[in-house]
Amino acid sequence: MLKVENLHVEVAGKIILKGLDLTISAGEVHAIMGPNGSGKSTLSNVLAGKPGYTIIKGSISFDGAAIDELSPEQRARMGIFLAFQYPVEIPGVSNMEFLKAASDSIYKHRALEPESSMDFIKRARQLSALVDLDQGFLKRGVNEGFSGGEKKRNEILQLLMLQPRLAILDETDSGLDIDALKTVSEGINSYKNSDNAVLLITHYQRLLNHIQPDFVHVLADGKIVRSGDHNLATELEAKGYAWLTDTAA
Amino acid sequence: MLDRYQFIKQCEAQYQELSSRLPWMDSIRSESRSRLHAVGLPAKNHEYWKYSAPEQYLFSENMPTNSRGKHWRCEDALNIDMQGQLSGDSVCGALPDGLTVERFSDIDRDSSSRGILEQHFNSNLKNLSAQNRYSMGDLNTSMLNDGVLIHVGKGVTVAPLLNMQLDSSGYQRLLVVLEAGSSLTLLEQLPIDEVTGSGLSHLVESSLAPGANLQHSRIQPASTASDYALTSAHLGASAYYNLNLYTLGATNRRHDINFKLVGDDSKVDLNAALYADNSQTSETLVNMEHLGKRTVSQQIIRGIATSRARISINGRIHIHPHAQQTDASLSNKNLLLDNTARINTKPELEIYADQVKCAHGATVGQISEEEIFYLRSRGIDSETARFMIAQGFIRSCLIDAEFKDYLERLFMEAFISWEQ
Amino acid sequence: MSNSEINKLIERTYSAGFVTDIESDTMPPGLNETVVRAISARKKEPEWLLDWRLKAYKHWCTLTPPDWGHMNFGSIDFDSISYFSAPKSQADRPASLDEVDPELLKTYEKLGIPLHEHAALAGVAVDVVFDSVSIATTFKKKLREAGVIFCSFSEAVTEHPDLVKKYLGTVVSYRDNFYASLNAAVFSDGSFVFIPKGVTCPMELSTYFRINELNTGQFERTLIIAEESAKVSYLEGCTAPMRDENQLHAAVVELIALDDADIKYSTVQNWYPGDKDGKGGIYNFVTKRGACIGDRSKISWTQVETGSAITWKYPSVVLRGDNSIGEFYSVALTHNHQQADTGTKMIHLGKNTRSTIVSKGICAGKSQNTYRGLVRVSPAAANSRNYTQCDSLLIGDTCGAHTFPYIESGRSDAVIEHEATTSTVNEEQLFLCQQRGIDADKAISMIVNGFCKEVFRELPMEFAVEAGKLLEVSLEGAVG
Repeated sequence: MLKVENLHVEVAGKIILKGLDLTISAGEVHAIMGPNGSGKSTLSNVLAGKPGYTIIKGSISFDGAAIDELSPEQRARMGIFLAFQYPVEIPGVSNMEFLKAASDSIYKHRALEPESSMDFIKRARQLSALVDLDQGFLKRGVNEGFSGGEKKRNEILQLLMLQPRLAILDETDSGLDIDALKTVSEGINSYKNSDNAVLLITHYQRLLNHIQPDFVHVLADGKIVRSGDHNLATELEAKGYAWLTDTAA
Repeated sequence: MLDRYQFIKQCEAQYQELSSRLPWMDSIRSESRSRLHAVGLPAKNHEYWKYSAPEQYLFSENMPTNSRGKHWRCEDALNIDMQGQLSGDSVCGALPDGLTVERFSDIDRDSSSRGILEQHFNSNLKNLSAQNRYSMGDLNTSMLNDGVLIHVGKGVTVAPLLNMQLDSSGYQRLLVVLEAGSSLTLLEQLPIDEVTGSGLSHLVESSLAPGANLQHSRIQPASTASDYALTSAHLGASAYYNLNLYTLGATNRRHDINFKLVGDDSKVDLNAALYADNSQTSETLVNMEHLGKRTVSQQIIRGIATSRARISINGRIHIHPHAQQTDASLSNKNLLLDNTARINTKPELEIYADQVKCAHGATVGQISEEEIFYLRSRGIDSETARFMIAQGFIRSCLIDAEFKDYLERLFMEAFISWEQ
Repeated sequence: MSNSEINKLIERTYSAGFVTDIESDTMPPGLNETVVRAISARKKEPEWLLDWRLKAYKHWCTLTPPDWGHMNFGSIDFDSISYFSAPKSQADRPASLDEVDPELLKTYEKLGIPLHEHAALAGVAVDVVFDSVSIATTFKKKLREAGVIFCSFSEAVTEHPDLVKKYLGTVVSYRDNFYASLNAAVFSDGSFVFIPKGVTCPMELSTYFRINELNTGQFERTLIIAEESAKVSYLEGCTAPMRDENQLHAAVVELIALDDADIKYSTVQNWYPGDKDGKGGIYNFVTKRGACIGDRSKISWTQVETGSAITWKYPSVVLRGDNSIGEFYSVALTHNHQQADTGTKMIHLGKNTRSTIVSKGICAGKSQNTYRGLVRVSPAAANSRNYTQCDSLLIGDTCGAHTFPYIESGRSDAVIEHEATTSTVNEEQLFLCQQRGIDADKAISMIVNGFCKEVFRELPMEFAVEAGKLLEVSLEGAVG
C-alpha cells in the first residue's frame, strides 16, 4: 500500500530524513519509535504533504502511484489520514460542517454520491459516543476550546468517520491519561481491518500495550536503524534508545 | 454632500424651526449648539478623524422618520419602534411592571418619567462633547426633535428581550436608565432596507446605577447610506454592561463608543464583529475609561475586510489616576481577504496608575497556513478551506444565542455574495 | 509602597553635568536669512548647499511646531536661541589631535571618552561634536586604508562634495517636518560615513555629542551610506551640562543602505534631563530615518533613551528594497518631570519585507512615557511581516505610560502582530529581593535590567554595559 524509498527530506534548510525506507501492506500495523529529534513528525508531515517539506531524494508511492507531487487534499482523498500531534483550533467552523465537507470531497473523489446528511449525522453521533465525546462537540468549532485529550479523541472520531486506507497517528498517545489512552486505542482497534493499515508514531511503548504492532521500527537521525516485531518495543522500553543510536553511529 | 458652510447654514435654519418642538429641551439644545460653535465640527486633520471624512456624516435634512425596513422580530420579545410603540405582534400586550418605554414628546410635564428624563438626558454627552472628538454628539442634540426613554425601576429584572427597531435615517436618540440592581436585555437593530434616507445619526446614552446589569446588542445590516452612532455609558459601582456589536459595512459607517467605569468594581464586556466589502467603510472607536477601583473591561474586536472595503478600529484603554487594580484588555484580530481592502487598527493605552493589569494585542493577517493544512489533510481543497475558515472567523464572533440564526444569515449572505 | 519612601529614593545625580570653561565664538541669538548665510559662509560652503539651506529656511518659516505629541511644555522661543557656537580655538581647525585645546580633551576624558588614539577604546573610532562643530575624529588613517570615509560633515562637504550632494536630504527632505526643516537651514556639523561596496567596516564607529554653551541650540546632521554588501555598526552618545534653561537639540540622521548592505545604529542618549523639579534639561527633537533602498538590505536601530526633558524622536525605516529588513529596539526611561514621546515607523514598500519592533518604556516620578509607532504595509509589499512588542513598566502612581500604535495594512498576505503589556514593580517582588538581602535600589535595577534584556542584547558590548549602569543611575531612588 505505502512504499517509501530512500527518502531524504529537507525542512527550513535542514536535512531531517536521510534515506528512510518503509513498506506497509494492507492489514498491517506498523510502529515507528524513536527519540526526540529523530524525524518522526517530519515523516508524518511529509507523508501527508505538508507545505514546506521538500523531498530532495527518494520517493513515496501509495497503491503503486507516486504521490510526492500531490497536494495534501489529493492524498487525503486517496485515503491517507494523519492524526495530528497538535490539532489546530479553527474557531467558528463546526466539527460537523468540517467533517461533512471532508467526507463529501472524499466521496466525490471515489465518484460516489455524498452520504445523506441524515445518515452522516447519525453515524457521527454513534461514533462520538464510541470515542467518549459528548454530542455537543459535533456542533462546536473544530477543536475550539477542547482539552488536549478531547482534541486527540476528536482526531480518532475523524479517523472513524472518514475511513481512510492508511491511518498515520502522530504521537496520538502523548498527553493522554490512562482512561483516554484506552478510549483512543479502542477507537483505533475498531478501525483496523484487513483492507487498511495503521502507522503509529510514538515515543513510548505504552500505546503498544493496547494496539499490538506487527512491525516495530526504530528511527534515529533520519533513518530506520532497526526493525523487528513487537518484542523490540518492549526491549526499547527496558533499555532506552541509546544502545541503538550508538551502534548506528 | 454639502460643503461645511452650506451645512451649517441649513442646520441653523432647522434649529430655529425645532425650537418649539420640545420646550424643555430648548436650553439643552441651545447649550449644545453653542458648544458646537465653540469646539467646531470635527475636521479631517483631527487625530480621531484620521481615517474618515466628517463631512460624510453631515446630513442636509432632518429626515422624516418614514424610512422603515425589515427588522428581525420575535414573538417572545417586546418589539418596539422608534415611536416608542409596542408593535401588535408581540405576544404580551403590555410592558412588564417596572419597565417604561416612552417617546420624549409623549412624556407629560408632571409624570415621573419627566424627572428621569431631565436628570439624565445629555448628562454623559455634555462632558464628552467638550472634546472635539465627540462633537457629533452635540450636533445630534442640537438637531434632535424626539427620542425614546427606556427606564427600568429599582431592583426590577425585565425578562423578555426589548427589541428596539430603529428607523434608518434622521437624528435619533435612546436614553437608557437602569436604576440600582435592575437588569435589562436590549437589542437595537437597524432595518434591512432599500434605503431612502441619506443618513442616520443615532445616539444611545445609558446610565447604570450601582448593581445594574445591561445586556445590549446592536445589529447594523449592510447599508448604502452613511450612518454615525455614538454610544456612551456611565457605570455605577458593581454595574455590568455587555455590549455586542454586529456591524456590516455601509457606504460610510462610524461608531464612537465611550464607557466610563466610574463606580468601583464595575465591569464592561465588549464584543464586536465587523465585516465590510465592496468599497464600504466601517470605523469603530472605543474609549474605555477606568475611573473607579478594581474595574474590569474586556474588549474582543474582530474585523474582516475584502474588495476595496476599509475597516478602521481604535480601541483605547484609559486608566485614570487612582484607578488602582484595574484589569483591562483588548484583543483585536483582523483578516484581510484581498489586496484591495484596507485595515487600520490603533489599539491605545493611556495609563496613570501603577497597580494595574493592562494588555492589548492586535493582528492583521491572513488565514493561518496551519489551519489550511489541517483542512486539506482531510481532503478539502485549499480554496474551500480558506472560505470555510473565513466563514468560521465571522461566525465565532456571533455570540448572541437568541438571534444567532438571523445574524448568521445576515453575515453569511453578505460574505457569500462577495465570495461569488 | 509609600510616597515618602519613593521620594527618599528619587534623588538622582547627573554625572555629566559639568560646564567646560572655554572661550567660544557664538553667534547672537535669533534666526533669519542673514544667520543662515553667515553659518554657511563661516563654513566656507559651496553655493548649492547655501541654496539648499535657504530653501529649507523659507519652508520652515511656513511651518508651526507639531503639537500632537503626548507632552506638555511651554512654547520654544526660536529667537532666543543662538544657532551657532564653536570653541574659539577651533576657528582654524587643528591639523591633528595634538593641536586640540587641552580643555576640550579634558572634557572628554571626564566623560570617559579619551580622544588620543593610544588611550582610546580598542576597536572604536570616535568623532566628537562639541556644541556646533566636530572637533576630532580618531583612527581616520586606519579607516581610510579600508576605504571607509569617517569624518565631520563639514569636512565631507569639502572633501567629498559629490557624495554629500547625491545623498543629502534623500531620506529626510528639508520639507519633512518642522524640526527637520530647521535643522536643514542651520545645521552646523555632524558626522559623515561612507562604506564602499563590499567593505565591512573594520571597527565600530562612534560619534559623541556634547552641548556646552549656554542658550545654544545643537543642530547636527549625520549621513551614513552603505553601498552594496557593505556593513557598519555606528554608536552615538550624548551629554550636556546641567543648566537651568532648556536647550534645544534638533538633529537629523539619514541612513542609506544599498543592496545587501547592513547598518546598525545604536544610541545611548543621556542629555541633561532637568532637575527633580523639572527645571532645565534638553529639548530633544530629532528626525532619524533609514532607507533600505537595496534588496536584502538591513537597517537596525537600537536606542537607550534616559536623558532630555523632552524627547520627540521616531527612528524609522523605509523598506523599499525587496526582502529588506528593519528593526527597532528601544529602551526609554523617564523619571521626575521628563516627557518622552518616542517610537518608530516601519514603512513596507518592497516585497517580503520584515520588521521587528521591541519597545520597553520605564516611567517613574512624575514623568510621562509614550510609545508612538506606525506600521504601514503598502499594497505593493507582498508577504510582509511585522512583529511589535511594546511593554511598559510603571514605578509609582504619579507617572503615565502610554501606547499609541498605528497599524495600516493593505495586503491580504501580510502578517502584522502587535502586543502590548503593562506591569509594575510590586511590593512582593521588592520584598522578595530585600528578604534575600538585596537593597531596594539594586532590586529595582535588577528588575528593570531584566525587563530591558531583549533590547540590551542588541547593543554592542561596550554600550550594553554602559546602558545598564546608566539605567541604574537614572532610576536611583525611584522606589522605596
